[in-house]
Amino acid sequence: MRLRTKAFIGASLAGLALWFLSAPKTLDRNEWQNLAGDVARGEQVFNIGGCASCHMEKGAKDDARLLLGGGQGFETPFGTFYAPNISPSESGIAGWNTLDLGNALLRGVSPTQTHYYPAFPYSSYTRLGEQDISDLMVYLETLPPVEKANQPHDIPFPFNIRRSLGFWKLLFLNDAPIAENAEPRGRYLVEALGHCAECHTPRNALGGLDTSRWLAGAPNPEGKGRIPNLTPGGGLADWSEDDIAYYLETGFTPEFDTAGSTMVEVIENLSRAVPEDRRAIARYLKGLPSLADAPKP
Amino acid sequence: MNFKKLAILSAAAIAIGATAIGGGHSPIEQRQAAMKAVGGQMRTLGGMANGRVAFDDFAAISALEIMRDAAATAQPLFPAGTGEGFETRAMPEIWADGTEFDAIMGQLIANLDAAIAAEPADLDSYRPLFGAVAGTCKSCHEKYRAPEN
Repeated sequence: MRLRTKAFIGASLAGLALWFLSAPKTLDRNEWQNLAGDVARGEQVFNIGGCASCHMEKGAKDDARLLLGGGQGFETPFGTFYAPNISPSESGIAGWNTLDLGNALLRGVSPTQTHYYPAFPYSSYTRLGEQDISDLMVYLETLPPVEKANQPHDIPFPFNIRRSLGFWKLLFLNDAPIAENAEPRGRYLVEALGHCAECHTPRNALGGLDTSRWLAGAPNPEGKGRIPNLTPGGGLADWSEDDIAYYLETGFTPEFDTAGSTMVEVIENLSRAVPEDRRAIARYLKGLPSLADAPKP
Repeated sequence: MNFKKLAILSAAAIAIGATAIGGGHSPIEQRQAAMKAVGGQMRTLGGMANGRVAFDDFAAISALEIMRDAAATAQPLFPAGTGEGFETRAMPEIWADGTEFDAIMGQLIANLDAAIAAEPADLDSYRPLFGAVAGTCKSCHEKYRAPEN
């Protein structure tokens, strides 16, 4: 065989392997058929998961928080992402079943088998429970439909090649727990559903979370200031569990200073959670390994 | 006047004095000192509201008065051009949104005046008055204050 032919066959095989590796991987349909959802529990999942914060109109209050037509823009080093419509309308998720929602949340894959961008925090949601997803699905179906077309993301080459996200997922998608010895409920709320690390953990050059600096604070991607260190080595050193739980409920620090910027939305959501869940989050944070703040830039 | 009240009054006088003289020369330094004085009272006032500190009507009203004076000191210290190039958490929206910021500051002072005038004698009458004050702090910080650096 001539060298050129060999090279061609080699390149083709490599290409095929890459194509296979980057393909969207979906869940097993059979495992998802017998789960019945509960609307009230789904509302809790919705609030702690913070779905409204990104998918409602920016700054919406009260009932307008439940109009999930999308459209908020998120500026990142990779371009600007626009939250899609997740209301039960034709432009949204009308016709989705629990398996579709499971694929979106656990695998970052759409019903048409394309990769979602990880601005949608599925790298945390990979650790969600199937029952929570079923509950969330039936709750989302009770919300008002919003007819509003999705705005395409504004992302430059090469990040606009969705297929490349298959490789990103191979590198960074991980459903193993981080704080292995933490109590399960607190760990689930912080690491999975509440997706705290998405903002409070710094990222590497490819946008993956630096787990060696887990929850130790990060630059603010949207402008001024830093997102605080949540480990006992940072500003929370002197906070008790009660202090953290009270903050998550009311937005007031032990000094009665107030929460700012995007944390305001998080508290809006967590104030609707049950008190035991806020305590579980507080216990988890107090149990984290102590990491010092990163040096100021 | 017993000793406790005298001590609180002296502390209040010192705090007001510090607000007036300790703020340096630029509006940014002055307003930061004033906001610090506002925040300093919130620990006492908030602790009473959530039951961590025993309610004391005299201490509460004293703290509200200090806070009112400090807020009134801070209000005019946000002139145009003091949002960039300094160590400040004040966000550019303060100046971009026209008079809204000034209106919230005015509301804070009005809520403080109302709380002082009501002379709350017990925790039940104090709590909603404190809630209104704290709510104004919160709504303004949400919109107009950047995260800490």
